[in-house]
Amino acid sequence: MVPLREGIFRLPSGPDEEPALIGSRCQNCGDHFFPKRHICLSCGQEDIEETTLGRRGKIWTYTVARQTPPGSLMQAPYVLVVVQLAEGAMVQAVLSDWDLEAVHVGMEVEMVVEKMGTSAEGNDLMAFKFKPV
Amino acid sequence: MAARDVVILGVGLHKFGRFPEKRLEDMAREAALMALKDAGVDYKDIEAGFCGHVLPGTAVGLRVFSELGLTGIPVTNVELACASSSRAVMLAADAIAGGVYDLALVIGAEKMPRGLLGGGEMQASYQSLMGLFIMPGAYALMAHRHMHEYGTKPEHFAKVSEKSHRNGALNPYAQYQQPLSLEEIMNSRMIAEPITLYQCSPTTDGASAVVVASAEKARQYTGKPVNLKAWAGATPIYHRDEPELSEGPTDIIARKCYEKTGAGPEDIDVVQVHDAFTPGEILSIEHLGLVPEGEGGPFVWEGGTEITGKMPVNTDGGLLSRGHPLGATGGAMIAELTRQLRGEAGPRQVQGAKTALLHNAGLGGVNVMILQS
Repeated sequence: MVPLREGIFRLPSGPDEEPALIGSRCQNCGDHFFPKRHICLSCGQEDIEETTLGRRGKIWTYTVARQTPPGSLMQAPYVLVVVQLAEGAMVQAVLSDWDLEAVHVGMEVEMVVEKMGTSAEGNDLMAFKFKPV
Repeated sequence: MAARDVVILGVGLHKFGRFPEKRLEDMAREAALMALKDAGVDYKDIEAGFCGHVLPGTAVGLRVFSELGLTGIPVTNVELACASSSRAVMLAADAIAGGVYDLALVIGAEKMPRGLLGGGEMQASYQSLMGLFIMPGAYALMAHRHMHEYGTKPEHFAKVSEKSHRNGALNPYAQYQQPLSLEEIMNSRMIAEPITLYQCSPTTDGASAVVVASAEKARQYTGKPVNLKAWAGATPIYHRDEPELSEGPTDIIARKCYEKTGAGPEDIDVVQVHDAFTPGEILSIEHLGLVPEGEGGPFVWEGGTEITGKMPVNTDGGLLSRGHPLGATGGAMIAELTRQLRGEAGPRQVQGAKTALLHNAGLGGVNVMILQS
């Protein structure tokens, strides 16, 4: 298993570890960001610390993609979501395991990792998604 | 030195559509010659050039302006995705207001491949691989939030396209000149809910041109000037509890323009907004202060944005029907508003139009301008 891009999320290294998004937390004002960044957008603090983010959040908005965009490993149809994590950071992702009747603004979701393709070397390429809880 | 008054002295277009046999330079030259003729200006009098384009790459400005002459003027390329040529006009206006030039020519031009736009060099990013870069994506995401907050309905968005195609049928330069029924629009292929195929602007070849001048210099020419009273641009502002989905704070720059001119939303007679996808019109008229927040859907549904409506929007078909050659769209918006303010819009004419508002957005920023006759 390899993440489809490094530095975006962490795969669990063992059965007792959870997957996690890699983001940033400003040690000056406390705001969280995803993906990770160097400078705080809220207060301007430089060299803000890299941190793993919590898995839980709520759907802020969503749409259903019915046409696969160029370059995408994800095949339509799928639900594209903006999730606001409990710490506040906003994350765009797709839903795993969706029931269109149930999807709604405010729905509680949890970050998961899933295979999205295969690398040239034959490894499972993993992506992060959100799953309704 | 006080800022000098700026006018739009001439406008020109190459028809929007598909022209595989024509080079980018050919379309640009035709639009530019029309604008120069409209202004009554010789190319040799132009002191600066600005070229709005997105896809073609480097040195496009020189290729395009060389069609007209090689007079040594500074030519600057301006890329702001779908808002390139309106930003190019703003840069020309900044220089003219500041006394650097008296006469500038702005050309916007684009030749586009068919189909969904890719993300350029962003295509190898995790977002692209994970399917996050769907073209109507941000608009579809904003539409759902709007539906959640205000009860806006899918048919409200579709109505934008129905009005647009009816207006496009009155515009001989539009890519699509055929009305479409609401049913046809809602039953067309779903791209990203609630946006169906006929609620997306097409890919298009085309060109636009604008002659920008100081008000004083304009008096020496036969062109009928329209006053460029205010202009402002922006990029997104960070908000902790809101995702960055829009191209920028339209409401803030609209307010800047209203304050600069002393006009308010109630003084606006005719509007161009960025309807790349139908939710763009409904959200923009709210952000521009033309209708109260949340009421855009019913306002459009009840005909408020028709040519004969309370607030006419995109009288020439907008991006949806006029077409959307990325670099040329801003200039085409200015062309239509200029014609409206001169009383030259023919069957699309809004009676007594005196004050016009422009909103042009792209991946990279948003522009608002106010023009007055």
